[in-house]
Amino acid sequence: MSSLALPVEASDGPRRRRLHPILVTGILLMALLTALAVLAPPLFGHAATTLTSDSRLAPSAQHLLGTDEFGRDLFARALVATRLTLVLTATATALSVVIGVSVGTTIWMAPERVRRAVLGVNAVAVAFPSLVLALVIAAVLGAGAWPATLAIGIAGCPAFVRLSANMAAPIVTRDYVSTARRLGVPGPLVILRHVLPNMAEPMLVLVASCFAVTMMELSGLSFVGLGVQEPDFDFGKLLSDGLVSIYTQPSQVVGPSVMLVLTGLAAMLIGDGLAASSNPRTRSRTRSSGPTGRLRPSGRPAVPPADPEATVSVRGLRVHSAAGVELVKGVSFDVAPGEVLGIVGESGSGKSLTAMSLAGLVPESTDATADALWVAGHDLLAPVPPAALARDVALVYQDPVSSFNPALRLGTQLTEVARTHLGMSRGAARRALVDRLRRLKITEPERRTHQHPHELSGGMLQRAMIASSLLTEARLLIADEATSALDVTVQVEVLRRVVAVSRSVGASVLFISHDLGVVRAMCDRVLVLYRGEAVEELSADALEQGRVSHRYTRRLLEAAEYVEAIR
Amino acid sequence: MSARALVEVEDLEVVLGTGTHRTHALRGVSLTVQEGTSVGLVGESGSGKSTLAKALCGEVPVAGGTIWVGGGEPVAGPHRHTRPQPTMLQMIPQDPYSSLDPRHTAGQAIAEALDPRRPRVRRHRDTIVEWLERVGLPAGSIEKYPHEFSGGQRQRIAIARALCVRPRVIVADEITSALDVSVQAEILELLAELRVDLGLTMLFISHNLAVVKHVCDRVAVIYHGSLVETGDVEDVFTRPREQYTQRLLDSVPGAPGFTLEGD
Repeated sequence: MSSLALPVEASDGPRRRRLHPILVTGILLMALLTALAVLAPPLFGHAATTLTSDSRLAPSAQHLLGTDEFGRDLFARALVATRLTLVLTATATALSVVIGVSVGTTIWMAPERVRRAVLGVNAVAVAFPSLVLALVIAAVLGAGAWPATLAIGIAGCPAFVRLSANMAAPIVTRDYVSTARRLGVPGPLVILRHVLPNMAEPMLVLVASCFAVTMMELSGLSFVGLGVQEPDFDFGKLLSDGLVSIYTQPSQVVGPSVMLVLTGLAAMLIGDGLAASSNPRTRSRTRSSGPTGRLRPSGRPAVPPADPEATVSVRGLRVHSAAGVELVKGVSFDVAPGEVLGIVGESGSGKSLTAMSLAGLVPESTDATADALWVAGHDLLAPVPPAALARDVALVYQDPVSSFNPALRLGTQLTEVARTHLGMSRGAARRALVDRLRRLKITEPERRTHQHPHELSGGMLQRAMIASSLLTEARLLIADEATSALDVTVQVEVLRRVVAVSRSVGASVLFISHDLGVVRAMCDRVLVLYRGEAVEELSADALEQGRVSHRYTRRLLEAAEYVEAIR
Repeated sequence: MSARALVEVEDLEVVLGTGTHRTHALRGVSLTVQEGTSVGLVGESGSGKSTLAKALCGEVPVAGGTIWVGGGEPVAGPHRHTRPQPTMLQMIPQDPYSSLDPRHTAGQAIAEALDPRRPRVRRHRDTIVEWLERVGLPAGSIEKYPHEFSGGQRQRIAIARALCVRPRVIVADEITSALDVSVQAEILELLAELRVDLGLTMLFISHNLAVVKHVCDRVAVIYHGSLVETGDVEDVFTRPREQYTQRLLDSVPGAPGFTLEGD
């Protein structure tokens, strides 16, 4: 079974990783069985096949499991059968995997019409139970070890065609595959070089569990007499022999049963171990004392808000990653009622982490502490009723499509906070929502409440999200890259609505963006974040006239001027 | 067609999908890219700009019209579409995170472009290092895997990979849109430099009007599958003739016509 153990090392690839204990156990067990397959026939072959007059002996020190009706040692027979079982199973598995994966990946290089036809036919084959298919094939080919192996191997193909086609689907759409084709790399080489290595890990997991299933099916065929024939024997054949005398000599089925379980277990452990080693969540071991995803006081003396009227007052906000890296390094700022504060920074600056902490949302893999964190009159370092926070703080995320539940109507989703936390009735909430949608210049507001998210454009969804914050009269609106995914002509529309909303209800806005142009146009004041630190706080005027002092801000401004300015 | 036109698109019609999902992605698009010049193709999402790029690469069926790349036989017309030769046209893809195989080093990625059938890093080492340095990466990058690079550095590798084939035409599809502003500026500067040094002929696709001015001589504005305006960058930016172009210009924050007031 070295064919299974070898790719484990290969899958290490560029990143070295420690092997999972489950995987090590599985490999050791399989290595033991493989050694048995190699050594048992020369060592015990004689005892397993020679006919003697000691028929049907009970288990004893000399014959650990006793002997069969022809006086052959049952323990030796169980061990010797390992070779044929493993060889047949490996062959059948290899047949299914090689044919299945070849077909499943090459169809992606074929024209769409061919691919659809092949997958359609394959879907029918998958729906047919593979063991029944194998029985039909075996019946046609006749009884025997190799015909049975061929039958099981072929019957296993459709499942692998489907699995590998599904696994290859996200890979073939990646740009490195299309680029390789544009560079003139032939289709089969693209598959070997780019597609197969990138699906190797999950595929190996499946191959390992397929090995166990295949062994069961092969043993099943031998058991019913369609597989291995006298004088050869595998585990299935031994079981079938033992069944005849199960009442008089039950020890006869023990050997093959235990061996079947052990082999299946080894394959399953390898499969599970591979899956566990490739999953970073189970791979890391230091989870017990890891981050909690909670906000905690920093331990320093609590600071009262500098301005009791401020909507937001943050002092010394720090966020740590699981690895202990400080992602936000002691950020402090205030937001006055009705003020629009911009937070600019590039990726990795910690701007989103800062914003999410204000909504009481700290990612599970991180830890946040602060000296003081007051938002809309709530001390977030102490327990805050979720209802109050949901009412007072509204969030608009970057991707309008993924922030809505695709299965629910907009009316239901947008009125959720108002209904569950403000106790509004369904009808009242819907009427109020229609009014707010109208104020945000959304056409046909009544019809929109009955629509699903996919029926609206991205800009309209973002405006709908803002409308729902109007509904609860949120005191703080956090817009995290809310317009970054939108086209410029749509972005203007959404920005105008944010400004109008904050003016009409006097809500403060925390506007997070990487786009200096947008921030400059929107905000009263701007906080510049760089690698987790607030390097500069600027008034809109100062930013407009380029009166910045920090080197990074200047660089950012120059880059923005270069990339964004029209003239 | 003019003797110096390297890309010529005439009355191109592209229909995507079938049945109820049928969309007319391109409607009678005509576009010419002269040798040694660079044309910016600007449009918003769904305007058909990426479809045009794919049509040039022979990756979408053409319902009508003709495409010539590098003269000679058309690469696409009704009833036929072939991939242009790798040395004729190369594309730099948008997303630096999906354009490099996570299991191949930067050296392997470029070697594949130099020799698609037998990419041997050792044999092409000098050429690979030369290209890495040309796009501003240290020679040591040759051994590194994509996850060891930042987005901007990956995009540099993607540029090196496309250029090392020495294609006659480069198609750059939104190559800066996934990057931070300061990185965008660096990549645009690099491209502007390479354009002069290598005399590139380029179709530069972007949703951002402003980036086009650094790397293009001419600009074509595309809207709902049709070209609405084509002209020299300077002219289109200062004296747009079409209402849509004007609206696009006014929507850029900080532009003279930009305002958040009113409805």
